[in-house]
Amino acid sequence: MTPPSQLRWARGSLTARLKGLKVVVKNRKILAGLCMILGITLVSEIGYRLLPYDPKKMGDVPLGLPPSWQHPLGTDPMGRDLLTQLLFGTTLSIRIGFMAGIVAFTIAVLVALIGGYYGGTLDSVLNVVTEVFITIPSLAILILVAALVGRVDIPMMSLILAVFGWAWPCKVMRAQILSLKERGFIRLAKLSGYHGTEIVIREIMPNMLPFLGAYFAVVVSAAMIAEAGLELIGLGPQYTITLGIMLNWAMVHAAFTRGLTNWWIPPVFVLIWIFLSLFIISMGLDEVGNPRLKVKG
Amino acid sequence: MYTRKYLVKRISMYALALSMAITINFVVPRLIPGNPVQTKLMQLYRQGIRLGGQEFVEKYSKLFSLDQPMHVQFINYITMLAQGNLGFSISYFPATVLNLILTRLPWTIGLLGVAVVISFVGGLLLGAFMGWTKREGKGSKLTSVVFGASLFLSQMPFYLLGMMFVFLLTYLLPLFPYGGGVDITVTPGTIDYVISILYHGMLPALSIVLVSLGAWAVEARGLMVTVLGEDYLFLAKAKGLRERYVFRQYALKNTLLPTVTDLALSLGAVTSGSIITEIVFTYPGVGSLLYNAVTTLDYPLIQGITLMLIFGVTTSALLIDLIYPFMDPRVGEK
Repeated sequence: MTPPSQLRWARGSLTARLKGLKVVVKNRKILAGLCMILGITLVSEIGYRLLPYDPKKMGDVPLGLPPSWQHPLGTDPMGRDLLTQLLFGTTLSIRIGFMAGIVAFTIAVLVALIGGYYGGTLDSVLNVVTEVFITIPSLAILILVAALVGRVDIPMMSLILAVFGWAWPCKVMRAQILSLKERGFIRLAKLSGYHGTEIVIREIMPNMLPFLGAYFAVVVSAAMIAEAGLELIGLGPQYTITLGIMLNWAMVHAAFTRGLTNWWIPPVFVLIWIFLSLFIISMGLDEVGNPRLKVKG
Repeated sequence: MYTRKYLVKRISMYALALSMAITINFVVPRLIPGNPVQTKLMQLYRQGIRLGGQEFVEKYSKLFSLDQPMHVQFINYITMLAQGNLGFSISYFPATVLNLILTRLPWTIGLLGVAVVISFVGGLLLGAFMGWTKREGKGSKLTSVVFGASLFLSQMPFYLLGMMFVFLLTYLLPLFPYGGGVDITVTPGTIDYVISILYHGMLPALSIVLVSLGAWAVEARGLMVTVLGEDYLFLAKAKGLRERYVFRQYALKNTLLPTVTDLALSLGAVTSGSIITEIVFTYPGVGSLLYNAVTTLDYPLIQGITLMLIFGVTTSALLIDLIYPFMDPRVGEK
């Protein structure tokens, strides 16, 4: 069933793995997505350090200026340079998104592997818990926790996002492990006397690698959507600036209906840019993992 | 109709979701260090209001039974919930949390219900059709453009699309009203009132519908593409059945019925998204109420809404799961 090329890339020696890396880079979608996300990260990380303004200090610059050469995006009514805010906010949003993504992803992989591979009662229990986490409106609980905890710092924010972001990818991954488990080479490995953990690490994981990458991109994207949503309604880390917090300030000052496009369009644009790049990466990785998609889809 | 395993699983999921929500609601506020009465007093003190000292804290702790051991507090809490008592709102005092939620709930249910049904049915049909045109490579340029658009939309958070709508259609090109759920100058009960409600709800609904429609279309198309090569479709065609009939009776039913379970699973995410959409549009539903509660730190109200949302979503999901086996007999046999 598994195409030989995929097997080679997944299970072979180091050179074969490098070949696998080549597949990833050759895929135009993955490459484009990676360039987009790396590009925005680099530009923002370097950009806000080059600009002479402070993204957080109120009254740093004249209040409420329209765009000009000195302030390409203008300034907000609290006297902060908007371009500096945008660049600084982007770096922080991406950082929170990736931190939350890493934690959520780890939980998802562990739960999926343990449940999917070992099966039995444990799997049924884990499966029910996963579906419960999918069904409940996580944002409501996020709001509750964020509001009650009050001052959330950045690691706390990431953790809260992660706790409610792992369930969906976990469900999909589990289904995939279940189907992998029935494949010939896993049975062969079992017959050859490998034990469970070994099979999981040496056979199942490598075969899922492209999918894992795809899910990781999806998890980060979902975490960032929830993050910006929470911050938009004023529940984020305090005394700092992220894209969502910028939008919150803009919303509180009715920037949408006052035509202050220089304030809210740039963060919206950057958010869409990030979501798109992550999505393209996940699509590309899906193609690598499932070559039939490319022909049919 | 139901197998025992199916019922046990669904109902235990429901029980688990509810008990989790209740536990979080009970535990999280109590994890915060310090006596809440004292914290409130300190807050008031900073605003220049002095109500009392230590004896005051003790008295009120007793009134709220905060001096009781945890398990007694928990039992009290459960009893209160069972009586439908969610306590009083702080910022809307003396309104009770339950009453506040009940006045806002119709707006949210109306908005969400209409949006979910339209996007689910519309998205599935659109996606199934896109998938169907894939057979024998009949897909046109148009379907790939629509597919691209669906993919793009499915990745957007509702609120970003909502913001764009607010800007484009209420500010730049003021076709729609901004804010509120109905024109307050119109008398309730008239046809104008209904029209006004629809008019105000159009943009919030549209931002939910477009995103979910995209997502469902992508899913349905994927499902349809996987069954295109199945023998039973080939057989149906060999029997000389008309293509439209094969599509409707054979392909559509088989591929789309299982998505009903996904609908149950998706309710949580849609509700999450619609909370923020309501806030962006200042729509008078539960989401906006939650926003007000958050900005005024009205904890009982925040807790009540959270609980209510989880209760509503999980109950609807359970209902869908219980109806589903009647629609698709394959579930019962498993």
